[in-house]
Amino acid sequence: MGDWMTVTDPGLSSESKYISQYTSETKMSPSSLYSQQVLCSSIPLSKNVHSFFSAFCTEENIEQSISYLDQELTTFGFPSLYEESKGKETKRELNIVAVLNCMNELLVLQRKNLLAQENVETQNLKLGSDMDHLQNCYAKLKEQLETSRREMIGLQERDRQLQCKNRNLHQLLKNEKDEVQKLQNIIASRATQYNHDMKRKEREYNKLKERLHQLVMNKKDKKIAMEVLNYVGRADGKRGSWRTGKTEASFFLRNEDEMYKILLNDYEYRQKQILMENAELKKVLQQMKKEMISLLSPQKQKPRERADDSTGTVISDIEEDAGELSRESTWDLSCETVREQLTNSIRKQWRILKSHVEKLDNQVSKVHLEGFNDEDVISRQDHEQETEKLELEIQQCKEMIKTQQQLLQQQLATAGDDDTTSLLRDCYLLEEKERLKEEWSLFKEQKKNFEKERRSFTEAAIRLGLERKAFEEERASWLKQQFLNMTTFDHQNSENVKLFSAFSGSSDWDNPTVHSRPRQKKPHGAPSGSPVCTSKLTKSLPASPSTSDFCQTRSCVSEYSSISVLNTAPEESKPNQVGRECTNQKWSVASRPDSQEGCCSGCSSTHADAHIEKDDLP
Amino acid sequence: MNFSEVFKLSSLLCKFSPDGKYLASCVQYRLVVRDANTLQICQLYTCLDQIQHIEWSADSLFILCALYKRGLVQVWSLEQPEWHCKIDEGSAGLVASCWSPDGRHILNTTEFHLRITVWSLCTKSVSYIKYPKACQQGITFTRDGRYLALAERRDCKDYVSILVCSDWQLLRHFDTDTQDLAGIEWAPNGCVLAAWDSCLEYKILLYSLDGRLLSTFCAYEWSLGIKSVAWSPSSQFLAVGSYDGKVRILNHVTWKMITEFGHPATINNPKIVVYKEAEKSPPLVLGRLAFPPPRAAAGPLSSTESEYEVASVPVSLQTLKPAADRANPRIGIGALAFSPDNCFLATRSDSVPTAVWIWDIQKLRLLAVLEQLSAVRCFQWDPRQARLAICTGGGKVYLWSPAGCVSVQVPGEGDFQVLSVCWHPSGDSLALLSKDHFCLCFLETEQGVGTAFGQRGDHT
Repeated sequence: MGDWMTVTDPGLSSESKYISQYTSETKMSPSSLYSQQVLCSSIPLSKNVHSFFSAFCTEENIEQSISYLDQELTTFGFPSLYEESKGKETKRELNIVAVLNCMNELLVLQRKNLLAQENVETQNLKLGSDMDHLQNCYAKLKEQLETSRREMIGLQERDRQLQCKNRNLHQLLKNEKDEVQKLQNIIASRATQYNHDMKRKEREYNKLKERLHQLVMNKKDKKIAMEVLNYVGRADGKRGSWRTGKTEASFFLRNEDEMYKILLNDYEYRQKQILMENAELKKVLQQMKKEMISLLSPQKQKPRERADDSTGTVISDIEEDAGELSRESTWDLSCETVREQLTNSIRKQWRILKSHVEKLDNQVSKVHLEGFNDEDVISRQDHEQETEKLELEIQQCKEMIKTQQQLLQQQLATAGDDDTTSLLRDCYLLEEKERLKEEWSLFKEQKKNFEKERRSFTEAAIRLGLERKAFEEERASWLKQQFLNMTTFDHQNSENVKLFSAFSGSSDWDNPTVHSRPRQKKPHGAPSGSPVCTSKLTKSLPASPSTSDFCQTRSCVSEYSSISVLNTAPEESKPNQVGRECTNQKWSVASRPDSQEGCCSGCSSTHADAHIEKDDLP
Repeated sequence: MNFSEVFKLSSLLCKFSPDGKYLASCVQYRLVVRDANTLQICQLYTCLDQIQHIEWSADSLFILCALYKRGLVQVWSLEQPEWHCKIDEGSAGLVASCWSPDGRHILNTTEFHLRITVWSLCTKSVSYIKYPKACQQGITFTRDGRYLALAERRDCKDYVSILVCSDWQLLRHFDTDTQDLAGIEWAPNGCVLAAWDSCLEYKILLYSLDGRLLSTFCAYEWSLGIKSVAWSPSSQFLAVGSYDGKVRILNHVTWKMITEFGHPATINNPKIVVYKEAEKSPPLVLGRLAFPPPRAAAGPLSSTESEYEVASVPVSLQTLKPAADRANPRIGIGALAFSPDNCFLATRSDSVPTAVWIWDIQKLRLLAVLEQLSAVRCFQWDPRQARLAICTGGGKVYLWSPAGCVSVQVPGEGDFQVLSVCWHPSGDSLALLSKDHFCLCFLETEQGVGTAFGQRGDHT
């Protein structure tokens, strides 16, 4: 039932309830058998159903059938087939509408049930196949289990056999050990017996020897003798001394003394040798230490930067040791503390060196590994190839740079006048800058000269003014005289005066312009393109004080000049209207940022066109 | 390289005097003393019987001739030919006789090692030393001749007595912790005495001159032990050859083992030069070959011709299967000797009897192996330089130096089978001893030797 529930739609749950109710009450109904059949068996044929139903209701039992159906339907929760009865006595009428409704509902229900049944059947099929599959699996697994069980049994058997063998071997080993023990015991016993026998024999032998000795020596063997022609002197020239009890003791002492002397000498000699060896070893150690320190100290900064705590501390130790080194070398003592210090420091440094070397090794191996991947192998061929490639690249790059330069120059030559090209060239070449610096100094000198000239000019003008004044006075007095005493040659004189005055008047008129012109023209006017150069120079070399100072002066001058330009602009506006506008524009640009660039742009206002170009360029 | 004529000799008794001026040799009961350079006979002494042992006194003034069979020692003076001395040990018998370092005393060991009699040539005094031990090397003098160490056996225990040679006073007497002391040997500096146990146990003990035990060394147990012992001339190393076919080098500071030289039968290291004496087919000999170096006279009767070849590694050496059921098995390091400059050690393993191993002591590794055609009889270092003379009982003498290796055919009629060699103290000449002849081999001066060796010296 549960399975059935899962198969049916949730919408059908209410019907299922009914059905469950119905199934619980199946015993009551006569057609319960059938209905159960319907529920359990697969799709019943419609014909059978029809025939069945025809048997159910006949002409005679319509009423009973209807009432039975009504009863049945009401128990299923359908509305009654009869109309609502008005009274108890009145016979209830069959409600056709209700019957139809019921029938419809029943049909719907039937359809639903059929659908559900179908579902259930497919589910059943599915489950059946699943079941088959599972059974197959089960069989297979069972087989596997069987085989593995068999295997296990085989293994167990083998294990058992091996264990048996092992036990046997153990037994054998034990036996062998016992044997060895026994043999060793035998050997030992034999050895002791042998020793014992030997001792016995030796004792016997000794006894015999003793006996023989007595026999041989005590016989006062006349034969035992030495025949010497005459006794020879000792090798050392000394005479043999007599042995007495007294001298014997002294002899003994002397011998002892000598022996100890010899031993002492030997020990001293050995000590000396050892000392020498030690000293040499110490020297080697010291040297090693020194070399280590020198080797490790250049790397001091690097590990510090890495903030490697261990190496950092050790390196500080090295520094201390380096300080100690001088002391130690001067000491040259074999004192224990010194020795310990030395060995310890050496050990420490050795450790550092080792770790360093290991690190290097690791790096090398890493590089090797990477090298295999990145085809960056440091084999000679590859190296050479690489260098060749790089050289080629360099060549190409150089060429490219050259072409770019050429192109740029061409472009500039076509686009702008000489000033701009020079400007660009300046941008590229430092040497040019130097040259320009020199030029600048030259200009400065020229400026100075100009100033001098101007001064002389002004002086001259002043002088001229004074002279003119004097002349005017003279003329006034002369005119007065003339006026006072009008003579006949009056006309001729007046002509002369006119000429003179014309000359003097023109000079008078020109003078102020001459005065003002150099002042405003000189800074930027005289050499073409120079102000731009200077601006460039100041920009690139702001650090040098001379140039900055100069720049300040320059800016002052330029301000002045620009103001003067502004002042003079109305005068010159008539011939060049466009130029005036440009200058005005420029002026506004210059005033906005109170910086050097502004100053520069201001100063170069006269060359407005060039300037605009320059602004566009970067 | 020049050879003298061949002289007669018996019992391989031929010795240079310590000062290098004379050469003493024995022919039956006659003792012949020749000038070492001219080989002219200086003196001729006649003993009472066949001479069995001769020994020069340290000052080269006297020669003792021991006639063990008769228990006699006869001493001759070189300066006074008429002077004579005869020591008769009588019924006690005589098994060994030697000079004391001062050259004025003779130590005679009686039969059964009953005692050692010290006879003085200066005075009529006679001293006896009882209980000397009958062992491989029971008497040893320090190099400076001051002290004598003597192995003793009393009450089944080993003792060592140190005596002062000047007056034969007992200086020290101590027991050694050995089962059966086999030998004692002073270090060249005379301050350390090495004592080793018999071959049944690997044990070597080092004693100071004043009898203190400095150290004990035991490499292994339960196996045959030490077979040979040698001090380096500087007293710095003690080489101990044992029955396991290894040489162990002890140092003089801690007396611990520095290194262990095994003697494997196969040599794989390409750094090791293996000189292999190879037989040459006879027809090739007729042509004049650069090597072996030209001989004074080609021996027409010499049956086999051979020369050294540098074998390419790996080389497997000819090994001998030792007979395990017999005493004194032919295994272990039977002989070892340091070169006078301490730089090399020559060893012979008895299981590989045809080979001489030469070890570099500075690098503590095997330097060269010389494989001969027949078993090596004896080898001896030049007392002045690193030059090793080897003989194999054949008609050749072999010389090795760091520069290379040569084999030299001994000229002369008939077979001259070199059984032993004996260097002149200056290293300029070499006495080659055969069963009943001897001849001198004069080695060229440094340059000559250099060229002689140069032919094979390119690979070192």
